Amino acid sequence: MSARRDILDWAEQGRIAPHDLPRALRVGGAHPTAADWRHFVEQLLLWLGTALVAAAVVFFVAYNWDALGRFAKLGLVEALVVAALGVVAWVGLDRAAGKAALLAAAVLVGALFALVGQIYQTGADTFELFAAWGLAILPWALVGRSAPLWVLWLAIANLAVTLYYTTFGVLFGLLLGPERLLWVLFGFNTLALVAWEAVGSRADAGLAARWAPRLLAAVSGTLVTVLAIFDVVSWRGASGGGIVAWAGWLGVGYLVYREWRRDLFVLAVGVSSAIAVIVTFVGRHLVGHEAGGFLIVALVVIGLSAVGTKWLRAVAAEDDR
Amino acid sequence: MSAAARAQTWARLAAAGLVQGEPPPTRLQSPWYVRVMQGGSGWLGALFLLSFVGGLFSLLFRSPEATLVLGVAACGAAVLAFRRWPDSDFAGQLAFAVSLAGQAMIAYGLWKLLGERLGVVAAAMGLVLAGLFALAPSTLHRIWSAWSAACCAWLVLFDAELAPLAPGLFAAGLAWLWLSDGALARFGGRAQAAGWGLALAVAQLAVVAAMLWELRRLVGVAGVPAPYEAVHWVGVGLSAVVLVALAGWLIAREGRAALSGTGLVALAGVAVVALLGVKAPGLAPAMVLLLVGFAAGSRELAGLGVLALLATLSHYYYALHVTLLEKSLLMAVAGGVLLLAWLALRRLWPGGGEVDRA
Repeated sequence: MSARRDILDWAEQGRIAPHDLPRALRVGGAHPTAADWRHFVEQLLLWLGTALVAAAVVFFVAYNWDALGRFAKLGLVEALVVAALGVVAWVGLDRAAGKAALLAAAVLVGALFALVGQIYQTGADTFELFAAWGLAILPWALVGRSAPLWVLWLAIANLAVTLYYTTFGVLFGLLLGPERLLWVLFGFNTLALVAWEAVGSRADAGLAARWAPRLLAAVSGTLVTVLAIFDVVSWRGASGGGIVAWAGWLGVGYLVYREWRRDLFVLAVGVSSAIAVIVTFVGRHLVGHEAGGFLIVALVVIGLSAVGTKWLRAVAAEDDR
Repeated sequence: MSAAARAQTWARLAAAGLVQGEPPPTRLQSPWYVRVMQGGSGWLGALFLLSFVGGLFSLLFRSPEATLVLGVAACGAAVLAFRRWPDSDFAGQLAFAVSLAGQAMIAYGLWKLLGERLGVVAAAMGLVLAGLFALAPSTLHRIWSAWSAACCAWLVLFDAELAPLAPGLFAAGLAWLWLSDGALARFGGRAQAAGWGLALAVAQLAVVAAMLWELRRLVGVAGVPAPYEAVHWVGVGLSAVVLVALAGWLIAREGRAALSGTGLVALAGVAVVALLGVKAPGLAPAMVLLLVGFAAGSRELAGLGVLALLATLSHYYYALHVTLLEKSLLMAVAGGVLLLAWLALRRLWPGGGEVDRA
């Protein structure tokens, strides 16, 4: 797909005449082929259709329609779960239709739990709903070998943990502050990243797409950056471990994504994180005294991002050779 | 793209007589996430620069004329730096931050000098940004200028009570910039930068426009004025028309007659989304992003389209102009039709190898 970028670059360098550019894009393979279009349209109809139907059920449950009895509502959602699982059994998990149906079934199970809580007023906390949902679909995630399904599971798990700490944070605010939550989320997402990189590297795992581990690396990197910033600004007696974890994350991240599995995206996350923490440190000590402090911080931001960009380009150039 | 793939592309172009000689040395371009990092740092740098200037020349900010002149000087210096050191990362980042700070000062000066009239100030600022787009030869700066200019155009429309037209108009402009042979041949890389700026604006408007419509309905004590409601429906219709027209144009471009079996299925699927978009504003522009991204061979743009679609659907849950039950029915019907279309496509075009030539 990136043939387009090269062809446009050559045109900008004057190697392709402007009036030849549209033809060059066609000849150079920048446009999708008939087979590409077929695949795209098929995937779009399948995934968008599935997403709309699953979302429709969630909206329907949320409406809490009085005109429909409790058994009719439960029966409807359960029938849809069974139907989705029927599709999975019919087409198998190796095909896109099977993966889409399993994802829909996983979403519908969440709607079912919400419906049970709505009808029977179980008194359960919201985090319990998400925890139960996550546990219920974990076996499907394990057998599904599907990146979107695992990302859904991870999102549910993150929500359950956050809601748990939010609930008890209100009760014991001093014991369970936001820093504790950030540590737990950081540990969980970093473990998930490690597991993904270990399993996803196996070609048969069906989890080889890079977008999901990149998303996890971004989440993990953001969390540890916030923890480090808490330490730098000494926010409400931060533990002091944030800086250590952050330095470790950067070091290990560098070794893994520079040496073992080259990934420019994760390296860019690391550079952004370093800029954020260093600028916070410099800003804390310079800003507020006199105007010149702002100028120094501005120059530090600009200098660091320029150095970071240069380094990332150099790494990209190694890949390009 | 690997060096081998690049050499292969060059060879194909050479065989077609479109290029001559050896391929030029590779000019490394920053991936989108490096540009995002640069943009974010530029913003942060600009904020500190503004604070520095504000602290040093606080009296200056009391005079709109002086602020305007200082802003123009900053932007002028940035343009000069971009032109003088086109390959320096530090100069580029510094110029970007200085330009952003200058733009903020110009906007403030114009706001005060032009009587704080939103539409007029936005139009004037749009012109400033268009000038910067033309003068500063930096891709990141051009994308920023194009996006900001699009936001200014939206503010002009907003001030004239015509904001609902923006998503459809911008989506049409986006398709033209990315897919038209004429735009590419005439403007080349600048069309790309403008296309990215407009793409960001369309993704943003897909959600923001719907939110504003909700807000407008909520704050209107006596309901939404009839002219504004009419404009809303025209805007929603315009987005739907742009989406269906784009799909038809793409089908024709690919050599499949719109009335052939496969063309009809694809067109029907798009029409369903366009119809759903009437009740869920934002869906059609997001779909335009996705279609244009795929048709232009840009994974990044297609990815932005997917994100915009997800954001629009998530926001739709909170939209108050339709009940959750109505939304549920609409989505169930639309989703069901799309899945039927998927089944029909597999039957009409089994194997995926067939191409219906017009």
